Amino acid sequence: MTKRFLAQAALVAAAISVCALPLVAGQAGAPARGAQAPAGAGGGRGGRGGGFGGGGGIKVLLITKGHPFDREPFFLLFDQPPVGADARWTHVEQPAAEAFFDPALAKDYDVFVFYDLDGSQPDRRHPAVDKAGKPATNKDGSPAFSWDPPSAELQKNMKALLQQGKPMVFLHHSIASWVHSWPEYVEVVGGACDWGQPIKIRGVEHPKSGFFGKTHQHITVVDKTHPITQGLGDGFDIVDEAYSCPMFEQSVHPLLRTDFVPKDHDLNLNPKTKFSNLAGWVKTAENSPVVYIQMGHDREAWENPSYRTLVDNAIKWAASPDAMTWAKQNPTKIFKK
Amino acid sequence: MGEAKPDEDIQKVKGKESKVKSMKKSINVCLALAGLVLASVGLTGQGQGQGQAPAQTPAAAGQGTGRQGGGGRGTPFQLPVAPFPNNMGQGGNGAIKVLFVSKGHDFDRDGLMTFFDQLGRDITWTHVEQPAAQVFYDQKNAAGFDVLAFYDAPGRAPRTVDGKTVFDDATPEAKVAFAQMLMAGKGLVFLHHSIAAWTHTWPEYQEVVGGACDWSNEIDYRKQHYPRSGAFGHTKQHVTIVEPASPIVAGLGDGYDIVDEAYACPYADDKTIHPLLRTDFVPQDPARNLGPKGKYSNLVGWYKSAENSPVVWIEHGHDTSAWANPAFQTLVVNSIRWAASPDAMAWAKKNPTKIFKNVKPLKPVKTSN
Repeated sequence: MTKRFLAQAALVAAAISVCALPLVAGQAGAPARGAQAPAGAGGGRGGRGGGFGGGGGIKVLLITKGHPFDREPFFLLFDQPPVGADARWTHVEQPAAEAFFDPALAKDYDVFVFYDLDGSQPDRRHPAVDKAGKPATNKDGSPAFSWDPPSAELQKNMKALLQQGKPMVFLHHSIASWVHSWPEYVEVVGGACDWGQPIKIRGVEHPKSGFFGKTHQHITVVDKTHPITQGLGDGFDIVDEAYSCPMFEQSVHPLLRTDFVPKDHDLNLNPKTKFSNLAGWVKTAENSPVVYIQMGHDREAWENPSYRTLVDNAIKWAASPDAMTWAKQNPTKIFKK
Repeated sequence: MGEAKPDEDIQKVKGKESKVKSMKKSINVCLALAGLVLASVGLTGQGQGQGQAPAQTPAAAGQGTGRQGGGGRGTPFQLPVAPFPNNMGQGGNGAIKVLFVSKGHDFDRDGLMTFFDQLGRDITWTHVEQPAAQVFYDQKNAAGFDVLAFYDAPGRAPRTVDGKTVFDDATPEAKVAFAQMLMAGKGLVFLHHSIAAWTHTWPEYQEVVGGACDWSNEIDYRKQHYPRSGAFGHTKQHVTIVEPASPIVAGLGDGYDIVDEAYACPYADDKTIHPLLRTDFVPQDPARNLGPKGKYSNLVGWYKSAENSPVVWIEHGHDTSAWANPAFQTLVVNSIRWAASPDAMAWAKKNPTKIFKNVKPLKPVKTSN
């Protein structure tokens, strides 16, 4: 009850702040948009940072859609320093973003940052039927679905892109993309969640994943030497949505671990598996450096200075020659043929 | 270096009273919004499973009841105006697929995106920013979209190269692809400042839209030089419908009132466009923005063809003051419906406007069956 009240209060506050924007600007005698300098087509004019779309040198393709989020404060995470000082970003939503997996189009961007949930669109998900032609159900009695696989072109482009070594940063719910119909994609990210449907990952069946909103967590840095954890000391506190999903401990290089532990393991994970408290990792996918950061549900995370440092470091590292060299020297074969 | 609109501040000629009035109105709207949000959260916050925290089931967009996607979290801004339902998910789920193009001019992002959400029974919209949006000038990449809705304004930031002022341009490949897409026929809806896109580098694009503006730099339009365009923020206007039979103005009667940014820019006020809307706003000093030879046009909406494509431009749309106006909502949804319709496509093919002289159309792609 308290939690719901807080959520309501936050929404009302957000509504008021959205309304206040033109009012405040109006009082200042300036047009509503006056506070920020327009960024122009390409945005960045070196070093300024903080503008609409960022002003840094790293060209980021920011990919969203498929999971709702509080848009303006999320965009501000990327506008404002430190991220906005280092990156210049272009927002593209799914499914349009799929076009940019074509290496010819991806070349204009240094890093792909994912906050999407692709592959589960209404026209790609269909009610499953059993052998008798009746609607199929999951073990928990809920209606079962089947999901279309990615197009042949998208598969071909993803493979080519990863073999080229395109850096990719995955945030929060982007770990849920394509979990039902594209096993290679799951291997790229290093884990899988679906909070609405059971999942079968690496041949193991799991119930629907767990999500625990507004969870007070302490995050411990487990690799203090990695560029992505610089500035974070031993760790940091954050209030954010925690997950209980299968994550591939053996296939990733851990950076961060949370002290959150779900009360009921079996509710969200196969009883024969172990809960992973990973909150951030790096890995390779073919020749690409890949980062996953579990945190990032809402503005409480996005406005946390440690989170901002983390996202900024992740983008800077992924775009660095060091990361690309590391990935080429330690490739992970994902596509068989 | 920034693209502030100096004229806009200087030319706030309207009295302060209208501004105060509009602010009061905004406050009332905001209070109503807060109330609605409270109410809707109360409704959508039910049914948490598993004793977990009250986060909404992720992937709600597109799951479950379909039309109710998204709802409870994410953007709190709700347009309180019928006929748009208040509980729409992000991105909509209507039949008309819209590519929403922005970047190049700042705006209240969540406000406008939430506006498009409210059209979600009619449209499913996908956001793409410039310069990435040029990928969808190619009809192959744009095939999944019925209408391209522009709110972008790229190519307006001047740079100095070898002592000369230059502006960003679309890529040569994108320009050819765009021409070919228009020859094949694609519905285009241009809103507000999108009339300033590529205005310094691509005269044919000016002809596609039907006019030209830049509030920060002088412009050339139809071989005539113009001063910086005029932008007059929060202007109370009465807009008159001049072609009541058009489906784009259906439901608007003789006209409507709106408080929005007005422009003074050169438009193709000739036979290449079909006037739909005219404002009663008149700038005090038209020559300031249009030069001694230029004539002020009070057009604020038209439809036209560009090659074989149906095109609409609506001048309104600066901020919440316009977006929350029912007339604006009606105009935008009507424009999108029209641009997506077989009628509009047939009309444009029967009444094409030749624009791109040096581009040949692509051969139509043969479809099986």
